[in-house]
Amino acid sequence: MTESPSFEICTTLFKARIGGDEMELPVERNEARQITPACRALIIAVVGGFLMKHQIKPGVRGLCAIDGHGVSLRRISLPLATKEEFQRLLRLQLEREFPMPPEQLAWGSRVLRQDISRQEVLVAAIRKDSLQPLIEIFSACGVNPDFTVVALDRVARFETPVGSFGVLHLGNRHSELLIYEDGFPTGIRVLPWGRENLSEAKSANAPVPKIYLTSASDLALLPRVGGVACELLRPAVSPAPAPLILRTQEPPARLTLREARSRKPVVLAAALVIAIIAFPFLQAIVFKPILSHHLTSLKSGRARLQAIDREIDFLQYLKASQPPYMEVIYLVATAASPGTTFDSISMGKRGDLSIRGKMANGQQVTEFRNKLIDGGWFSSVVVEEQVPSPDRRVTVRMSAQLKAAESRKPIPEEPSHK
Amino acid sequence: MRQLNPQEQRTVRFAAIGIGIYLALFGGFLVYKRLASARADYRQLVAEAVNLRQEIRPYQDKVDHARKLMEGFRMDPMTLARTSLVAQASAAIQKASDEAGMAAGPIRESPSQSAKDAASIQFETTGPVTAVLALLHTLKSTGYPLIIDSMQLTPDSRRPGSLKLNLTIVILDFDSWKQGGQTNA
Repeated sequence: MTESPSFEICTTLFKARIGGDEMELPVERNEARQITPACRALIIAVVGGFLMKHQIKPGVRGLCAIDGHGVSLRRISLPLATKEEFQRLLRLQLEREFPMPPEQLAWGSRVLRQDISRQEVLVAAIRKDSLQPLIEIFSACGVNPDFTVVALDRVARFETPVGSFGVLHLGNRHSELLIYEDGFPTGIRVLPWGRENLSEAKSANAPVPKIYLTSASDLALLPRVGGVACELLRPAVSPAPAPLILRTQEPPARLTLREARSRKPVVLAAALVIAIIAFPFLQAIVFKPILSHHLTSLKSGRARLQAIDREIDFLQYLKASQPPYMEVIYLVATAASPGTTFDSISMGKRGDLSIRGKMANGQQVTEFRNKLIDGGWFSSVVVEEQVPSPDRRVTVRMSAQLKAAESRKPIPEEPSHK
Repeated sequence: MRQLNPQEQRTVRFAAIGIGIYLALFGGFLVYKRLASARADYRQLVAEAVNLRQEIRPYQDKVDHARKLMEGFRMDPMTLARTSLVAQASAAIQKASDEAGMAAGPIRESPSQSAKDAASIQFETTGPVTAVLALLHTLKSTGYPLIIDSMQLTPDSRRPGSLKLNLTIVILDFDSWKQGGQTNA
């Protein structure tokens, strides 16, 4: 597995390290401490080759430790809080502690001590624009840099003494002094002397009552600074904490509860709109198979509808074709006068009635015919033959034609006999 | 491999975003097309279902009406067997005559005159007036599709007070209705 690269850039030296392989380049700066274009191009070319040698793909993250120039340290006391609340409180403190807004700073924090109610936080910050040249160099090399402060990173491997003191790191022409008060780092000073001009160091005034060195060779070179004796830091027993990363970009803003609440109706409205748009499509997808199944079964039952039609037609025809024989016999019986005898009554389905019988006289024949006509059931009543018989009665032959069913008069109900 | 400078990286990034947007739009269009097609099919099915419902709705009344008629005739046309229809109807007529108190006379069956009739029966029976009326009444509900084509009432000379009833009865054939629908009768 390929290891991540790490870098260290000081006033006069640039180091790159991948696993056990390490390379160094001198850094040339102008009067404004800016890296010169030639040096910049050299770093990009050499580091690019170094990364390629180790088959590092572009876009890899790399830890880049910077020296203490422009780095400010603050010790901030905060109440215990949740992660989101902690970040919010810390930002508020940053706004108060630093002369520029947190957006213009690359900053990081580390909790150094905490009790049941409060926590002591170390904050390291640097102007973003001072890191911009480095960001451009690393970007050109295909590296996404995570910046840290080399002085803090260096002392993390040692036991921290108590009280106020300084940790000195000797460079070739410059040195760094990390100043501690009450066991907490409070500042970094870049001193204008190093291994090449140690005489200045010996005569310099020590800004702290005690000075520690991280290297035994440095202690041999510089046993005293000014009037203060130097000592060697003891290596830490516990593993070193994670490096303090200076964030160059704000983390993605997390919604506060209030903001989340204020956005809730918007989210609900958006969900509702999406639901309204999606509903017809979902309806089609969900209900289509069900509807299709129902329709298939209904269509298969459609043949039954035709059978019902035929059945009802047949029954209606049967009902309509039933001649009203009972009613006709009733009408003939009620129209006949006493003494009337019938020799024959015949009737067909088409409503043609034929009657043959004897009546008392011609008057009764007329009355009988009139009653049949008045009954409202016959369209024509014809006396086909009326012949007087020897017994003074009249033999009569009549025919009549039934009216259509819809033009017949209803037969009055017979009064009940008590 | 040569490192890309920031301008080239930006160009590549814009190209990737452009291709991504194109693919998203293209994929979205395909998905929308498929969904729209499914929706159109569903709407067609719904329209079909509505039409079918409108077609079926009047049948509820028709079914009720048919049920009443079947109860009146005591008959379900679907259950009539064509092969034995005439025999069974003839037997039912004689039974109705006996139950009405008539004395059954000769019966003559003749083949149908119309495609819609199964056969016609000439039936002679004698009995009192009340029995004649009862028979005429019950012939409507024998359980067979009978139509009295003609009726003749004459006095029975052998038995005073009795009437001789000559009936010509047509037996309808429902099977021919199944195939051909309505008649012109």
